[in-house]
Amino acid sequence: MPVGPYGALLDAVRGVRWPARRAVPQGAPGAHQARSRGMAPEFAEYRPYRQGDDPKRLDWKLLARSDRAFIRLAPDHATLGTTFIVDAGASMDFPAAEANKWTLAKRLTVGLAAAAHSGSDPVGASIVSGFTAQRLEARTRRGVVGEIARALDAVRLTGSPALASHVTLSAPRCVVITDCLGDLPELRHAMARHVVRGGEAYLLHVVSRLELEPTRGAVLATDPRDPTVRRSLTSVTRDAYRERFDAFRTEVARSMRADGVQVHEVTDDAPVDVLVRRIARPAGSEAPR
Amino acid sequence: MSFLAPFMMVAGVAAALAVVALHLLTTRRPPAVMLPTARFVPESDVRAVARASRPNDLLVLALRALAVLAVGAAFAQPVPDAPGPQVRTVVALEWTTAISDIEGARASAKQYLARGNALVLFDTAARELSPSALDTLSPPSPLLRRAALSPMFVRALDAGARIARGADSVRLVVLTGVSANGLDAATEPWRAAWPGRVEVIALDVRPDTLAFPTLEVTGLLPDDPLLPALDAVRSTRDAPRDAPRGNGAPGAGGTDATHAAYGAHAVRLIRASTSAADVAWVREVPGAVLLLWPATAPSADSAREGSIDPRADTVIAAGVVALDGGAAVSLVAPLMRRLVPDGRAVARWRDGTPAVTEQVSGRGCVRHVGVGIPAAGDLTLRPPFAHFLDAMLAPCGGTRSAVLPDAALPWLSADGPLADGPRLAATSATSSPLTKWLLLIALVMLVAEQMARRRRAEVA
Repeated sequence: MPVGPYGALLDAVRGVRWPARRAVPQGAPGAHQARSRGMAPEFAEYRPYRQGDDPKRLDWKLLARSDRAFIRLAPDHATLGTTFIVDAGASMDFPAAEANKWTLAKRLTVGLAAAAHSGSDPVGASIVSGFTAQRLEARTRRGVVGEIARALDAVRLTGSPALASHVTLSAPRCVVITDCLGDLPELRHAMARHVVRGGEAYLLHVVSRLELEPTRGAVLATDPRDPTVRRSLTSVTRDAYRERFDAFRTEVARSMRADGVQVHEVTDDAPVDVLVRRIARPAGSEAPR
Repeated sequence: MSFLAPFMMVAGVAAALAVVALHLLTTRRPPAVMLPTARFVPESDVRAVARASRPNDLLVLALRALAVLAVGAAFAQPVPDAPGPQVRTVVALEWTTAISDIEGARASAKQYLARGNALVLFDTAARELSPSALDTLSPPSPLLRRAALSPMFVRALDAGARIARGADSVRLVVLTGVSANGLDAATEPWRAAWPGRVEVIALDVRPDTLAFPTLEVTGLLPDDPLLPALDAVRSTRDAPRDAPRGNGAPGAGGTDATHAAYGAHAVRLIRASTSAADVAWVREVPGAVLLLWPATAPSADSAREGSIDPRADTVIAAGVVALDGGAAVSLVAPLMRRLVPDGRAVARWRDGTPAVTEQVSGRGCVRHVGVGIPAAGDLTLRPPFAHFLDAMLAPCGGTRSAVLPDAALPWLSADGPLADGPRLAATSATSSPLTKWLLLIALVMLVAEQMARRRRAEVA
């Protein structure tokens, strides 16, 4: 698989599995525990025979001993499709250095896609910029991670994209990678609906270290999504800016978690493989926050 | 080049440095940077105080700094240094007829004069001359007999302050014959104002005679009120004298030999009309005094001709006559005021108008007396009138007292350092000729600065 600059990352996350946080709907056989019961050799439970059941699934030995008809059930496993919705807006191209929010978003997408694909899950992506959206359907075939990586590398960051509509078309596991500076209210509603429908929703809130700690000195801060927003960031306004931004991030995390969304705030100076392992950690094994 | 107010130059330099500092700390729009989270910055003025590490707009900065420096220099009043040696001299030369050897005094003064020095001539007044003018200076007027030191010190201070710029020290050399009536109450304070020692070079002075002047009287009436006074004066002197000649004819008065023998000056008192011989006499005899003191009462014709002071169309009851030299003599009598021609005032009425004037005439002088003596009364017998008559019979230019010895004036030429040049220069009240040009330069700089700013704004 030609993975280009992602080779080291893929090596670092090799062997990482990304289990579903709860039983997945019945589907193609996969690595995730399904809600349905199947006919696998391992025993799980009995269920009384109901008209219409396949007589082959009767436990004849039990019927002979107890004269009761039971169906022998076994646990079922299914795949969990994963769709990455990547914000390719202009605000993701920050800072201008090579290691910026967009680089982090790309590497997170590839790393998590590799982790999901290693469990035979279909993975796809919707890369949404201000004027275009490139949609890659979730697939299990080999090379899909490379396709996603190439699509990410080819995209041009512009405008302020709307991500909410892509959540509706997402696979059961929906991973939104964004800086939350776009259509946040709509995105929140869409992800809440996705959770209600039984899907899993992840919000990876990408934050730059320079957004947390702006450079010293007086600058005229201009919003790349909306150039009409120009504010004077000085020593007088810097503290107020930090307070507002901290409050914003806290509110995003609180409201999303309240809707059942898994929220992870990731900064552009953190090692991506560590972030991938933390995000893909099975439910119930999170470190205390 | 020196400054009259150097602290203003220091202030100007400090202000220019402040301008440079403020140029680095300016309120301007800070550099724009992309920040996706800009929406979380509170809204405020988009301008902010920014500090630049390197000054921009060097032309504007230079124009501002130069304008401030020019204003500071203008108020500091730069004055170019006077050319000359480090030690310069102010030569004060008494230029009166009392100096017996006027050419010797001129030569003495010349040996002190060099490039950068100043020359002050003084009698009862003082004036500064170019040192080169000393060679062509005409002899003093016969009326200039007395000298006063106070005006000399005033003018010497001005001249010293002028030449002191660029000099380490200034010396003051005074060539004079100091007499008692050359001093007044202001002399000692003005001497103290000169910040250094004074070198007094004593000149030989032709002494005033103590003898009674050689006197001729013309037109004296038999009952002339002056007769008793003249007799009283004569009786107090043992000097030979001439008897009054009657009927206005020139008598056998004193000769030049007589004058030389007694050192006396010749006085011809005219109580009637002046003759051509009198005029010729006063023009030819050195130091001769032609005293015109009409004795007749004013007629109606003379009143019409205007010889009577219109302010005294009636005889005044009392008059005060102040004599030149400060000695006031009060004559209380019904004096008749007559108009006198312009000239050096020897005596004045109480209201300040001249009562007695004298004019130069040839080698002598003509003294006009406008004080009419009443025919009746004892005015001429009283001591004040005797003093008044002495003043009328004084030599041309007034009397001059004897030369004072150096020991009598220790404060005048006390030992000490020469006057400090910068200190003396600081006493000058002259304004700098460069001030208006510097202010003009500052104005031009400010206009150019406005134009440069406007052009920069247009480019921006």
